[in-house]
Amino acid sequence: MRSRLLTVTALAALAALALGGCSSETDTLSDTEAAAAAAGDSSWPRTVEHGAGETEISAAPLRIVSVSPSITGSLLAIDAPLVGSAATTVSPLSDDKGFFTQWADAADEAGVEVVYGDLELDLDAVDLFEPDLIIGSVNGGDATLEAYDQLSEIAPTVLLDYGTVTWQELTTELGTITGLEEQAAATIAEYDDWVAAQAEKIMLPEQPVTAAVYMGADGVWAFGADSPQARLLTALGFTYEAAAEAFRSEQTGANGVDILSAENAASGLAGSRTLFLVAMGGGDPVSAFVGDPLLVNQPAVAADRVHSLGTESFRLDYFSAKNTTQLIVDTFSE
Amino acid sequence: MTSTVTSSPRRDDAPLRHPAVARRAIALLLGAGATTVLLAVVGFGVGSHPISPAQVLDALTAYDPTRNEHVIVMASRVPRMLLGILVGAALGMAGALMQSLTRNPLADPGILGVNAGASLLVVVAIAYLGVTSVHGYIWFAFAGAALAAVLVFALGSAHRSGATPVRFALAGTAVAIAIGAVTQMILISNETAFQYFRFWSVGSLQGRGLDVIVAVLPFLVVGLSVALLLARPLDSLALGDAAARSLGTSVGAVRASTALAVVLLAGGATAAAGPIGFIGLAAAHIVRQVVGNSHRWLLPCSIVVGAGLLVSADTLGRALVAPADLQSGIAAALLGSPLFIALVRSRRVASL
Repeated sequence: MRSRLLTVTALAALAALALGGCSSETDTLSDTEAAAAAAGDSSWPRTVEHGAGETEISAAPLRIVSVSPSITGSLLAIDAPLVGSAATTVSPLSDDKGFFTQWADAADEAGVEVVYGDLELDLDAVDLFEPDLIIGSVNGGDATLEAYDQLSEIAPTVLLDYGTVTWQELTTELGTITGLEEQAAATIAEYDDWVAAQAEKIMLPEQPVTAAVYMGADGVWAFGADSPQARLLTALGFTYEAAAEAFRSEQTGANGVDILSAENAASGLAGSRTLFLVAMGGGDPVSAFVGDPLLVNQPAVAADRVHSLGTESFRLDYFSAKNTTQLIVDTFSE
Repeated sequence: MTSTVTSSPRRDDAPLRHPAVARRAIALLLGAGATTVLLAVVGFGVGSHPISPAQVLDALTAYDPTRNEHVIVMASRVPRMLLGILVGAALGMAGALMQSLTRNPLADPGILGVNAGASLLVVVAIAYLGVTSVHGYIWFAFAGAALAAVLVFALGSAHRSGATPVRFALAGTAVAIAIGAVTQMILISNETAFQYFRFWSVGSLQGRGLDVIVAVLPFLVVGLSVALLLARPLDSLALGDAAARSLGTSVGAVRASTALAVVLLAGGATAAAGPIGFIGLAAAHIVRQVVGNSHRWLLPCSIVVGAGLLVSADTLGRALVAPADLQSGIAAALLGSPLFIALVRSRRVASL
């Protein structure tokens, strides 16, 4: 919640800046943030509220280390001065260093090095990069909340909650933290224009649609209407349908995921006419899904309208959102 | 509910022909059998998706493949019930055999390295061969279970003084730990393998179709048949190696046959449903407390009680967590362990 508040605050600050920094618009902002927003890049030091507390950043950072591979893509998207990033375990979702495929090329071009691999936090390795700002996450597989104090001894550390925000909100937040507000806004605006142009190329299949991860005998994780995946599809003109509430299990994940048991998958997705499957384990999840005897009566399965959303759509950032959009355009282009 | 058998000095041939034991054994067989059938039928209507008894009856008598409820009964709950009976029966028998073979009252499919071996080859299949379906895992799990058991058997009988129950137990534990370490190493460096293995490794009857049952059925039938033929030799073996030899029992051959039956039963059950703990351990103990240690009754009763335990745990587990789905391995542990603790507290556990 705190990070969402911060994001909203940051967005309000940007709006205020765009409107000419009218002071009456900034009643809800803290003095520091208002000053930062009003004065732009020159307003250092600035204090950032985040998932692990409050951190003062004394000057515009020049050497950032990301200890969260899930956030690294959004830092690269705003050309943040990133010198190193933690790498995840090597999988179909990553390159052979453990950088997620969607931003691995951008990282290599920017000269970003692997700080440590397999998500095994290595404080000495972080220290060797002599960062002036460390950015990490409070949730997910790459969370480093427990090591917040040690990381803070190395450099000012900001830990963000990327699980409950869209990549656009996260990018805006990172813009505020790094003093790159304008780049963040420009990146998002460029993306929005690009997506609007891509939407023109699509001939929509039968609506509504649902995006999900197929977990085999574990059932189906259907993305909720507020999820980044649903928003991406909505931005492209699709009508999004969440899983029917009556069939959801109690548990719901961080990303607004509704869990359907294997027996409830067909009924829970009965309202959806076209399905998108996130290939979390790599490969093509569609054949396993349509081959599940429990799903034969799901309308999209029965009508052969199940499509792969690719491997990069599970973690959406500027790069993977573009790649996922491109995949959808290729699938449905007129 | 008297405890004459279990509290009397352990095993001699007298209770074998005691009519009271036979009566208790038959009562146990009928009771456990009836419970299994009842809960299996009730289980058709119980689960993450609500299905009324009328719909269940409809699905069984007038199957309509366009209705989700009918599909769930026929494609999910019937195979799940059949597999539960088969796996439970195999685990019950395997547990009884392992306890007799190792003379260790805590023996279950874990102790001869069966689960560890099956897990390792499943992980190898996922991580390096790209196998991701249950139907693909089966053969790897089977081969792994067999290889580990053969290794344990070879290590356990390698010393010139020959195989002893303690040697088997030690070799099994050592092999299980070593294989487990290799499995963990592969899993840590492979996220995809971890995702798929996670589900298999808690033990589940869900998502296994009739083809899985057909695939493991021959192995389980042979395993159960071999085991039932071993009743008399195992009774002799229980008197000690020397006494068994003097009665004309070939000790080595009996141990080897028992180990073979264990591999077929535990390997087949583990391949089909993943490692499910507790059933093999508890079924044999429950039977021992009711009918004593005579294998003539112990072995057939363990089959029925094992099936009853797993089907009961699975059905109750599904009823408790709907609309979510509880994996059978977790249900077996959650619902079975209090029952087991109650049994241990109320009576003396049979010594072997």
